[in-house]
Amino acid sequence: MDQTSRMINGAEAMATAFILAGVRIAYTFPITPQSEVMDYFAEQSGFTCINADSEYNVLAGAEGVLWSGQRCAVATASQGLILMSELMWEVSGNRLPLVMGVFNRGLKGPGWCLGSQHNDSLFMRDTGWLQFYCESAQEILDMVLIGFRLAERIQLPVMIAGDGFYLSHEREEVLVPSAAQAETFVGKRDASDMPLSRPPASYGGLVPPQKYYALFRQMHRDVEGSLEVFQEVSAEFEATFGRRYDPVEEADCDGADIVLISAGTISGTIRKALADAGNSGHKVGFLKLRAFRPFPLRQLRRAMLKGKKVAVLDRSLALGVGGIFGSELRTVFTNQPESRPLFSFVAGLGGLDVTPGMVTQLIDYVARTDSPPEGALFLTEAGIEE
Amino acid sequence: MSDEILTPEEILSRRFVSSANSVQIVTGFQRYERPVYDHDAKFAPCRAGCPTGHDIATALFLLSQGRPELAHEVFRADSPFPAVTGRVCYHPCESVCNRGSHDQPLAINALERALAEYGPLAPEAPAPIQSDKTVGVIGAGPAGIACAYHVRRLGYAVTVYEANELPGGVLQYGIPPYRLPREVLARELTSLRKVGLEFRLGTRIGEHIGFGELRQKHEALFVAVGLGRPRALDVVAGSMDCVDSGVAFLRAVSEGAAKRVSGTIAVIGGGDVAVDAARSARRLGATRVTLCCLESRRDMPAHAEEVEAALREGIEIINGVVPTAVEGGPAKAVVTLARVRNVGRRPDGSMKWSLSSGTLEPLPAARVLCCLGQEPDCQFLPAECWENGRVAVDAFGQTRLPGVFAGGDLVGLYNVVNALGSAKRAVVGIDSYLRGADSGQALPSIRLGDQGAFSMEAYRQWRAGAENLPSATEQVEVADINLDYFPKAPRPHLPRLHESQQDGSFSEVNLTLVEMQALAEAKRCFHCGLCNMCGNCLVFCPDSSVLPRDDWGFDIDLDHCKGCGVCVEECPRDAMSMVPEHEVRDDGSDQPHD
Repeated sequence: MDQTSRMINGAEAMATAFILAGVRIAYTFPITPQSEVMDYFAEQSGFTCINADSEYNVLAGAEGVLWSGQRCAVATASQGLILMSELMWEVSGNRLPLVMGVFNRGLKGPGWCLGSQHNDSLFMRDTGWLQFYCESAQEILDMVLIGFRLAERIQLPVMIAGDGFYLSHEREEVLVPSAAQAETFVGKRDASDMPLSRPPASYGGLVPPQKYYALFRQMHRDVEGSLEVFQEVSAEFEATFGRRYDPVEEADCDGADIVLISAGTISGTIRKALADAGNSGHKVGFLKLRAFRPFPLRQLRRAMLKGKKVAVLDRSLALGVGGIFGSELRTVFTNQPESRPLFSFVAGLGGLDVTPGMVTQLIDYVARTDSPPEGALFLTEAGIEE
Repeated sequence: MSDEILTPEEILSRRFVSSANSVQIVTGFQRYERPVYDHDAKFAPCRAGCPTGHDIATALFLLSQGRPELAHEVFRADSPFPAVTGRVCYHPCESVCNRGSHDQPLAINALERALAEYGPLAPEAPAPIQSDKTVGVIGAGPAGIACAYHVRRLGYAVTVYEANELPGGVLQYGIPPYRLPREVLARELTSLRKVGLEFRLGTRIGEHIGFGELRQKHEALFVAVGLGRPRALDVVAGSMDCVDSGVAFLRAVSEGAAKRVSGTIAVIGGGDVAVDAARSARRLGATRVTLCCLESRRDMPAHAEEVEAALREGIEIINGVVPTAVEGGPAKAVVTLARVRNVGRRPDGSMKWSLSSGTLEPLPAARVLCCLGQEPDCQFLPAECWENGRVAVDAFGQTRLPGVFAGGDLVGLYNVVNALGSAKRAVVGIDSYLRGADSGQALPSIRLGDQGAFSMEAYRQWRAGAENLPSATEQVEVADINLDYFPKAPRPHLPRLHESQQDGSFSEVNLTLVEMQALAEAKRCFHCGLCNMCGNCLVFCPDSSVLPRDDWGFDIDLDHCKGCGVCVEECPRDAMSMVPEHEVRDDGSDQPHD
């Protein structure tokens, strides 16, 4: 394996991955905690880094690059991402295989927020973009490479998300593939479907309703179908680089008292808490949700049914409903003969630290509570509140 | 998903790709409401308020474009002599003008006169006779002439029987020349003769020709002999040479036979005849003219503009009084006046009142002119035709005698323009009678409002069998006008003969607007409900879906119009409306089409 071990942060891992994927142009706009990605692009020679006047135009510019048959790097966070929201639909609806990096950061609700929270990328839940949540800088690098393969095969845009600061700014050991390995894996972009100037045609103009309906339905089917494609691509990645990326990562779920589900960097905290507890406490299995779109419904159900209770820990909040993963995961049992009590926890909003101690609290609470409350449970160092 | 990558064809099938240009890509299916140019379904309040239904909005638009001759033609479609009505009409149109609620009503009457003066009509050939039936008109006053004019233009031979030596009735023998110069009347009569009106003058019914004979001779008759017998003042002591009727006095004035007068002239009455007599007496040398009338100043039947002109000319008006005695010698009279209250009118038009206490200074006068209204002087119509002292007619002028129609003062519709309106309605009655049709059938297609006005042009089209004639059902109100496009602007100053030139002269007092003034005033018109091709709809349409026609008007490109309604909002004059799509769709379905 011709991979180099480097101590780099997630921002550099992300930028490095884009470059390894053969990208030579980036549309950028600074926003914390993504700006480090932009800095890295700006320092590269033989690379065009175009600073747009807003994230909206970042995406508009990137769209143009894709229409011209090239790959383009785009990364953003928080307000920058939601400023792109109108064009997000256009990119997916026109089936442009853009890959975007997102470092999650809280949105400006009550005030500006820099810390990590998943509401920004989850705001794009229904856009037709595929979404993957990462736990480490290594995962970010690898998922960007997988993302290009996936995007260009299914012709849908892909978003690779990692928690801001926890991943963007913290260094860790990352195995970086060689340029040749990466090029072999990602391949050249086949742009033979891109528009030519003659004969003239309009793309994405006003669609008659029936056609609109049909195209949307097709997009829905392709998002569903992308799960299988992701698994194929990720299997190939594993064969090449030795790291495995399943839509859902499962650990110790068989016969567990509690199946605990989370995504992103909280996964590491959970692993640590479970390892520290060892065999002393309750039997807890862990499910890490990597692919949110496509939604790995069957894999989730299978794994969730292996335990007696299910607990979901979210770093996001759908106001008036609860944690966003939590509310999506409730659908897993809909119309099923078998189901499990599901506890939905919200923690770490605005980048508030989620500690192993909090995970232990959560486990204790679920273990001693027979039926979960209807709404969300708010988990802080101080305790658990409905 | 077994292939390594989607083929370009597979990807293309997942995109919306179109080689059509923006014209080929139809977007009209998004529309739930459709803009329509429905000016045919709308009418301006002035038109409904005009008893003879002049299409004022169209005429003033043409005038504003510097085409007075076309405007003149528009007026002539609905009445015979705009140069006359432009002078003597009391313009009910102006009091309902939408512009009146914005700044000041249009000077429609002055503009009618101006377009008649500045837009002389090309000589008109008589309309071809299209029927072997003929129409006889008895009386060549405004109603008789109007009836004959319209009937002739519908293709009937028509003969007008007139007892006097000259046609015109009140226009010839009543209205003083300072209001209507006789050369103007003569000019209009000449042009009416050219369109085929035939007058039998000096022909009195019952004396020179029998009514029964006329009924034999013509398939239809129109009786408009007016009110020929002045009401007498019943308090005159015996026969006094110095007491005369205002009607007789005005006739002498009109014939140029009136003698100079001197001293005080007392005029009894508050109507237009009284004011005409008073102002004429002033011109003939009276040092003092006193007009005594029952009504308060506000309730005087004389038109307010005439009353004001009389006051300007120094005529004294005593309101709320009645003469209780007229006494004295042959050359001098003394009028005793008493105050009155509870002034009202009986069904036949005569006045009633009760005396009030208090005495007034007696009024010495060299002459007393009685202007107490007139009664019909028409012996030939049988008793069954009469009701409350007037000839009873239906909405189309039909009397109780088959084939005999009537209009004007005789049926109780006073003043010139009402006479024209009654004649016009009788023309529909006559034409329907002669064709064996139901006169009411045309009404929905021609009616303009509920005051009796209708479009003669619409009637001609309806009569010619035109299908789908739009019914004008909606009167444009000021709330329908987009006032942002109409900065406030005053009426023009209406020119008048200088007072120094009026004294003792029967020269016309009101003058014609100068041409530029007339054009400017015509431009002030809202042209309510009339598309004048201002092009706002085209300019504001965000979808370039307003298509100008080659000749006149616009079409909506329904393939691309999304029904946003901006055109209708920006139409200054309510010439457009939004209509729910299911009401105009050919298949009547509720769904917008694809």
